[in-house]
Amino acid sequence: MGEFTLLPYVVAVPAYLVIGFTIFDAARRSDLVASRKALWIAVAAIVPILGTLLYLLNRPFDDPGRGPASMNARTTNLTALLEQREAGAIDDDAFALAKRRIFAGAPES
Amino acid sequence: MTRAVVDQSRRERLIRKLAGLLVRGVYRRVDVFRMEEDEGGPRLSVSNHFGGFTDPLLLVYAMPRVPRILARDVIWRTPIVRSIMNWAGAIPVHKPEDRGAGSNDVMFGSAYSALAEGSHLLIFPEGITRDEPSIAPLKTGAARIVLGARANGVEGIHIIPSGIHYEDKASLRSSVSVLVGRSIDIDATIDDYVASGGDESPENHAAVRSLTDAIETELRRVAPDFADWAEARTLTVGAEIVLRTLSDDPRDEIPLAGRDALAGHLGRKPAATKSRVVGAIDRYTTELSNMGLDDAQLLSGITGRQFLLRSVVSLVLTLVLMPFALVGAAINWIPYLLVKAVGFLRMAPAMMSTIKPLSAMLVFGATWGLVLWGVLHEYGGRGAALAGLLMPLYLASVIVVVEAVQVLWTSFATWRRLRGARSSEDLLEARRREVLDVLVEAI
Repeated sequence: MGEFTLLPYVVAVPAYLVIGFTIFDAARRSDLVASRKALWIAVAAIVPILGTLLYLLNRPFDDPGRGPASMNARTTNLTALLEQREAGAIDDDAFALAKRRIFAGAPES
Repeated sequence: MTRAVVDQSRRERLIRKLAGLLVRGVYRRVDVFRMEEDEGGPRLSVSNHFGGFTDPLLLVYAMPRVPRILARDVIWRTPIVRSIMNWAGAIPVHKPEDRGAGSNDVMFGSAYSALAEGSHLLIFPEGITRDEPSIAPLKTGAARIVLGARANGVEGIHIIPSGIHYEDKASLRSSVSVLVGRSIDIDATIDDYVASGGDESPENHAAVRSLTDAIETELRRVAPDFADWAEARTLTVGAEIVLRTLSDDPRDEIPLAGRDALAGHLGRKPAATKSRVVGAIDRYTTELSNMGLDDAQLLSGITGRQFLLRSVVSLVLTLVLMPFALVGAAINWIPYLLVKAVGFLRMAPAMMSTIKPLSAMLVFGATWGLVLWGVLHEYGGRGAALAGLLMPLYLASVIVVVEAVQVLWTSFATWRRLRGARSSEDLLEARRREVLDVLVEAI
């Protein structure tokens, strides 16, 4: 009995979520023109599961190197500063000043 | 050269997608930091080499253009692997210590013509995989390819140094960061390697040597380059302390690429500075661990209320996902145990980093294939497509549930230990300021 009550939940709920995700994701993407978005949403809705599979196979991955999202301004500044320093693009005084500035903004631990 | 070169072929897109899927399956977290963008044109990437199989995969994932890999020709002796290597456009390199006749004229020829087409090549100039956190003396192949291609009239070659930093290369679902450094513009710097009036060809040994040294310097800047693992670990913890201080919220995850860049920077400091820094970090972390804490926990300052809130969130998440997680566990527990068993085999970490992800792909792939085949027989193509979509979701549910429980456990432990350490909290924070001062001073 248990498996008959659980089975629809385990299969149907995620299936609807997957279709919902496809429509939401296609609508939100910035790299598609409106007609393409409409086409994908139609495909996902008319041919439910296969449409999503096709959509995912065609979807490009996000470029991992495009802007390290997890770095805040201070960390980005420090990383850039160290790089300039090692490339010899910045002298001792300027480096010390920039370093003080970065750490002056840090919250007291 | 324009952006048009970045326009990717169908095959490149497929290779990138496959690499992306594999990398995201094998690692919990991959941070990529590129100091410079690839503007197209002939590029030769050079990287450190820890894991024979995972390194090229990570670089394909991290670089904007899929590289053609120069690899040992022995790899081509395995039938299926041979087809994969050829399909991915890899170029075989003959090494004298591998038995079998062969010269590298063909390899140099392919490399020259690939660069002439404006391709992106990848070579591991250490020539071997390595278990130490440092760069082995470089082979001269990279320099000879670049000088040879230039002598054959290829203009605009850049060498891109990349560093791969594994948290733990032999374990699945760990973290890794890839630092892509600034490129060496060969046309602009050729006079640094070739004495004026000298021969700009790979026959000029002095030029080859000097370019190889230049590549080594740049590689050391982005790749792990420490005296030993103890130093690597301590300086990495030091970099975490600094970046946690700079973060908006001390509970945020540390940006790995920034951390590894900073740890590398500390590692290149003079020995005296380094030993002062290492000493200070060790003293601080020892005192912390006596209290059963680490730096993140000390700063997190978790209160009883926050702990309660987190428990409720984890509990709800776990309950909602539990049915899917159970299905996922039922499908995946056998391959999981098999991969775990592979981890107990005794072999060098460099070897393990190849064997473990490969066997994971094999056993998980086989299991999922079997399930799909069963569903196909039972419910037809529609059912199989649905199963193909849902199986990754089931596995993801398992991972989310396990990680939610882990988070709950760590926040409970943190809250309890912080309560126990309340009397020494001021002391620990004073110690932290000391170690931070030493670190900032050293940077």
